[in-house]
Amino acid sequence: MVNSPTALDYNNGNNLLLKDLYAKDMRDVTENTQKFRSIYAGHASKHENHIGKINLCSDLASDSFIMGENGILRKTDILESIVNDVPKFSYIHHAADTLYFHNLNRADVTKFDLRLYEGDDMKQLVDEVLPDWNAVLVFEQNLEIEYHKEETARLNDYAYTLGHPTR
Amino acid sequence: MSDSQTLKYVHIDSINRRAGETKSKVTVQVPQGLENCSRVALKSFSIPNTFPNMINKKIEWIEMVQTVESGSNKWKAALFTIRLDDLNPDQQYIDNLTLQSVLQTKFNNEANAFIEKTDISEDGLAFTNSGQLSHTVGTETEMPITITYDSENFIFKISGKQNSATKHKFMTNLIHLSGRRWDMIPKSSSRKMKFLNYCPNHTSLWLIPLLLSITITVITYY
Repeated sequence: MVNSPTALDYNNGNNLLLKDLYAKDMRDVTENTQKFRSIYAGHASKHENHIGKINLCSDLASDSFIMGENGILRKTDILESIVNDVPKFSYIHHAADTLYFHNLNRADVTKFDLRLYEGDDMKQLVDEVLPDWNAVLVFEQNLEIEYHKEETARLNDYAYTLGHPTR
Repeated sequence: MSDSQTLKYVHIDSINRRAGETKSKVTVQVPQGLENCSRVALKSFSIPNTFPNMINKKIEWIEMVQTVESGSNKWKAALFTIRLDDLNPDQQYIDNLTLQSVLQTKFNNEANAFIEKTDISEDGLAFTNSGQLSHTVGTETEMPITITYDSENFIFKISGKQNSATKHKFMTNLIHLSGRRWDMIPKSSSRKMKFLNYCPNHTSLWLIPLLLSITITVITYY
């Protein structure tokens, strides 16, 4: 009855306009019954508090994984996910009682970056309207303690003296 | 040799970022260097929860009309775009009821909303861009679109109605794969139906596989 405009299918078209689009929820708007020509939201709107969490990323560590399309894990550099559980126009304060350490990908740090992304789809936050933020990072540093042969011998002698009193 | 661990605390404030850098990407220089580090963790983080929800938003939809019952060139289709980032600066954040009002105003053309129209040829390969103040395909009468918001259940609904002599007319969601999602009106439980639930149309269900790339509305990020 109806010929399909088949080339509108972006999979077959080679035009730039439709190549990254797909369509859903087709409705015949000549229907008389309203529910058949209406599109309903699947659940309550989150428009009013749309950023559920913020991912703080850094080039310091790349030992995190995130589930991507089709359930496939991919490597990321997320340092921490900060949950937004406060009302709009108040402050998000994240304070870690338990530190979640990431292994550094280099021992000597002279420069590193910090990036903010929306938690759900890792889109970079719009900078023009992003408020300033602050953070505290904890670096675990290994201090080298050198033991010299002479010093070790002296400590051993002292320990022997303590363990074998002569009077 | 043996090792002993100590912790170094680094306080960072984005307001002191380097000139030319953005707040969403800050580079921290450590002139004295942090040597022999093995691990790093975030101790605390603070930011005002003032993120806007109307930046880089737009509505896109396709309307497809069967203009004659038989013969060639039966179908005319066009892709329409209304940008929503032309609001006043004090409207960068709006609530659901205001969003419903803004959308309805745009569709009603009450604010002389500039609608970008892209005519699509029947074979889907030719596109013609133009700007206009209505969303009509071919010579049809402009179709009323109603946006409703249920403030008890926080649910949006979009309805179209065409009463002209049009044989068939369809609308569909358009989803930007690159934009991923539009969270003003929420995504549905189905991963691909980011915007609204799919509700089978009893009269045109058999057409869905054929016309998958046609018809109404989505508001999406770039």
